Amino acid sequence: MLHESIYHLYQLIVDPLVRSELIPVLLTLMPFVLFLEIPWTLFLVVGMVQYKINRMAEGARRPYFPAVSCIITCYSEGRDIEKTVVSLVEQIYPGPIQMILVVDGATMNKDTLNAAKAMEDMVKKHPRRSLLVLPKWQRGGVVSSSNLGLQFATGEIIIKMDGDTSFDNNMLERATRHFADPAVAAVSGCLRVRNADQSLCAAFQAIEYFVAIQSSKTALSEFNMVNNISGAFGIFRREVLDLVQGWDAGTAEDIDMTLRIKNYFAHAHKKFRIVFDPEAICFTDVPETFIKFFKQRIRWEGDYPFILFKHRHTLSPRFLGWANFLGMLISIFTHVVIPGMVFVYTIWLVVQYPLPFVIALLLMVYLFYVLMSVALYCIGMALLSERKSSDFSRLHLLLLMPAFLFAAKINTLVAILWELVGEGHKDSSMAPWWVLKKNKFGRKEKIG
Amino acid sequence: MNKEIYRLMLGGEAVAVVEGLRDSYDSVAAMLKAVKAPATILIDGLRAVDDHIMSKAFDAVYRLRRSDVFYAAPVYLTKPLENLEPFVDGVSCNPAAIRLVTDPILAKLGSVPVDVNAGNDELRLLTFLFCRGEEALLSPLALSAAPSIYEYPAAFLIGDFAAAALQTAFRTRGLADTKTLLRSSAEWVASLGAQGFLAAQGLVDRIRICPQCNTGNLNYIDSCPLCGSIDFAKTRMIHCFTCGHVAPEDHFKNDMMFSCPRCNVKLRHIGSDYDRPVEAYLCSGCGERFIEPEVNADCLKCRKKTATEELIVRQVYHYGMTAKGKRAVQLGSIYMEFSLFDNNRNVMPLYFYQMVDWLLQMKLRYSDEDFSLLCIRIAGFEPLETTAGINQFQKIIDELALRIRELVRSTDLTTSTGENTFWVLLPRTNQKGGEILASRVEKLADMVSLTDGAQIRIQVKCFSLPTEYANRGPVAERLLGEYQTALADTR
Repeated sequence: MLHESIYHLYQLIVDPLVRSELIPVLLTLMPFVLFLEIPWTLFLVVGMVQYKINRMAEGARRPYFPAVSCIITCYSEGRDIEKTVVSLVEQIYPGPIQMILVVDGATMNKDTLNAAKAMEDMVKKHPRRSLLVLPKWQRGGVVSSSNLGLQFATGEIIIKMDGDTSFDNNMLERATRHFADPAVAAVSGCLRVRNADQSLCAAFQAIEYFVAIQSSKTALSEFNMVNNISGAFGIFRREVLDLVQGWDAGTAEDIDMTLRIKNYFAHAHKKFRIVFDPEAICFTDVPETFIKFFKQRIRWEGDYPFILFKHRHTLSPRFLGWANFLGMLISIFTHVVIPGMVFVYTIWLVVQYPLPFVIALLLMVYLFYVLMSVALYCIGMALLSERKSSDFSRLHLLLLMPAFLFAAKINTLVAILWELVGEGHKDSSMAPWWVLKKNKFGRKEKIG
Repeated sequence: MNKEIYRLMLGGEAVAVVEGLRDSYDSVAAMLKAVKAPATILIDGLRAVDDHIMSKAFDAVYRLRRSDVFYAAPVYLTKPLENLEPFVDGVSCNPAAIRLVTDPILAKLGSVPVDVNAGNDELRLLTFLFCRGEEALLSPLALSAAPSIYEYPAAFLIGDFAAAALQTAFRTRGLADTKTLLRSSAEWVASLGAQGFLAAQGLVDRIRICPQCNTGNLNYIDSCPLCGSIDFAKTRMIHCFTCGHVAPEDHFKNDMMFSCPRCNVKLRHIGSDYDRPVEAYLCSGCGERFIEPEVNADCLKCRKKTATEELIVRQVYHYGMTAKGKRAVQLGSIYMEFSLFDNNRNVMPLYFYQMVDWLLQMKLRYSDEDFSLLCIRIAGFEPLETTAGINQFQKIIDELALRIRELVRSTDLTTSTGENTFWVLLPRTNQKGGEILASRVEKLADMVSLTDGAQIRIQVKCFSLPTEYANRGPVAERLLGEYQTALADTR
C-alpha cells in the first residue's frame, strides 16, 4: 500500500510538474489551498516586509513617557504573580508605573493575596513605581476585576494583564511610544511562550504563537487589521476605555472590547488605529500536556460564534471599514469555515477515493503546508524575532506543525459544534455562574 | 491651721479676685526681704501672657528655688502657662484647694532644718522632694533644646543648671563638688541615685548621648565605610546569565536597553536573561562599593562622629526618696564622697581611728605586732577633666580606683577623710613594706600622664605610728589629721 501511495504521490506531483500541469491538478483537488492559503501567506509576508521597512526608517524615540497603570487580574496564581510584578518593576521606563493587583475571590485565594501584600515593600523601594493590592473578597470574574482596577488607575495608559505573565524590560518603552500618535487607540502586545522548552506540546505552541501572533499580527497591523487585543496583555489609552465605559460583562471581554473600540471609532468617523507591536513582549505559560491544551482551546475558541452573534448588528463595512470587515471575514473563515471544510473534505476524500490515493493526496497537502509554514516561520524569524537562536532551535518541529494545527482545528470545530448545539458558552472558568447568569451575554474568554 | 499664701504680682492685672491671701509683692526680691519662713507662693498677674511675662514668671520661679527660704516651698500659678507648669506645683486660683495640697508640704518642711539644708544644693533638692510626700517623684521632662534631652525641672532650678546653661563650664570647683562634673540636672539626679539618696522608680525612656560632650542632640548619618563620605548612592547590580558578568546597572544600560558590556548579549527578561544579585551603594568620594553603609552619630554640639555602639546609653527614670535621703534631709547633713573604696572594708573614719588606736595598743604590748598607714591623696583632676572630656575622665578615675584596689589586700581597712584623701590601714606590715606599696601606688599616676600637659598627681605617704603615743589615749584622729595636713603642704 505504501508503494502504491508513493506512486500516486509521484503521479500527483512529479508527473504534472514534468508536464507543467500542476496548477490544474491542484485546482481540482485543493481549491481552498490555492485560493486562500497562498494569497493569505503572501499577504502576511508583504505586511511583515512593510513593517520591517517602516521600523528601520523609524527615527529616534520621542521622549514621550506617559504615566502607566497596569491592571493585573489575579485569581489562584499564588506566588507566580511575583514574576509579573518584578518584571514590571524592572521596566527600563522613566515614567511612573502604577501596578494594581486585583485579587479575585481573595477569601479563597489567600496565597495570591499574601504574595501580593508581600511585594508592597519591595516595590516601595523603587522610585516612580507603586503597587496597589485590591482584594475582591467575593469572586466576581475577570471583567469586574478589570473594571474595578480601572476605578483606581491613575495612568494615561492602561495595561490589562493576567497574573501569570512577565515582560521584557523594554515592553513599556516600546508599547507607549505608539500613543504619541493621537490616532492610536490601543496597542496589542506580543505574547510569547515562557515554558516553550518544557514539553513538546509547549514547543508547538511557541511556534504557533510566533506565527499566529508575532508574525501574522505584525503584518495585519500594517493594514490596520488587528482583530483582537489579547485579554492577557492589552495596552489602552485611558480616554478610549472611558469612552467605551470599560469592559463589558460576559466572557471573551477582549474580543468584545476590540470590537467595541472599532465600532466606536467607525461610528464617530474618526481616524484611529489599533497597533500590534512585535517588540512589546509578554511571556506567558501555556499548557504543557495535549489534553490541557485542547481543553484550553475549547474554552477560548468554542464561543467564537456567540461573540459574532452579539455583534451581528455592527458586523458591516459601514461600521468597521472595508479592511477590517475583510479581516473579520477572514477571521471567521479561518476559525469557523476552514476547520469544517477540511473535516468534511477529508471525509469526502476517504469515501470517494481509494485509500492509497487519499493518503498520497493528504501527504501532498501536508508537504505543502510544511513548506508554507517553514517559509512563513523563517521569514518571520529573519524579520521580526528578537530571540533568533531560541526560535531557530524549534525549526525541526515545523515538520509536525501542520498535524498539530490540524488537530487543534478539529478540536475547535468540535467546540463550535458544542457551542451551537449545547450550552457551551455558559461554562466558563473565568466567572462564576451567578455572574454569567445575570448578564445579557454569557461567553468565555480567549487569548490570541 | 491655715498656712500663709503670698501673692507675687508680675505686673498686669490679677487673673481673678482671690480671697484669703496674706500679702502681695511686686518682685521676688521684695518678697525675700519681707518673708523669712517658707510659705505658699501664688504667681499672679498673668492675664495677658506674652514672652515677656513668660520669662518673668520663669525667672521668679528660678529665684525662689535659688533662695534660702523658698527653695522647697510650694509655688502655684493663677493661670496655666504651658512651658512653666512642670516647674511649679500646680495651677489654681482657689486658696482652699491650694492649701489642701500645700499645707502638708509646709508641715513637712517645718520638721526639717530648712536653714541648714539651704547650704547644700543636694540637700535642697532632697528637701524639696522629701516635703512633697512619700509618693513624690522627680520626673524627667523632655526638652528638645536641652543638650541632655531630659532635665528634671525641680533639680534644674535648684541645682542652678539654668544659670550653668548660660555660663560655660570653665568653672571647676574641685572633685567634692560633684556638679562641676555634671552639666545637666539629669546627671546630677542620677548621681544622687547612684549614691543612694534617690532611687530610680520606673523607666521612662532610653537615650543615647555623645561620649565626648554628653549631649543628646545627635544626627544619625549613614556614610561610606571606607572614606566616611556621606555622598553615596544606591546602585543596583546586574548579573548576566550568559557570561556571568556582574556590574552596576549603568554599565549595562545602553539607550533604553540592557546589554552586557562583556558578552554583548541583550538582557531582555529578568529571571531568564539576568537577575539582580544585590543592591549595593557606590561612594562618590572614593568609588568604593559597599552593601551596608556605616551609620554614625554626628554630635550636633561638638561635631564628633561616633559609632552607634560607642554612644553612651542612658536610661531615664523617675526618682523617689530613699531612707538614706530622708535621713540626710532630717539631719541636715550629706556626705558626698568619691568612692575609691566601696567594699565592706571601707569604714567610717571614726571606726578607722578606733582601729588605729587599738592596733597601737597591740603594738605596744606585742612588739612583733607592727602595722602601718598609707595616706593617698589624689590631685590634678580639674585640668584632666577639661582636656579629656567627662567620660574619658570618668574612665581614668575608674581605672585608677581599680588599680589601687588591686594593690590593697582584703584584710586592709580603708576610709576617706576628706577631699580626695584616702587612708589604708595595713595590719602586720612594717614601715618598709608600707613604703613599697606606697611607691607602687604612686607610680600609677604615670598611667594617666599621656594627656597633653595634664596629669593626675598621686601622693602616697606611709606612716608608722610610734608606740609612745599609745599611752596617751585615743590619738589616731589627731595624728592622722596632722599627717594629712603635712602631706597637703608638701605638694
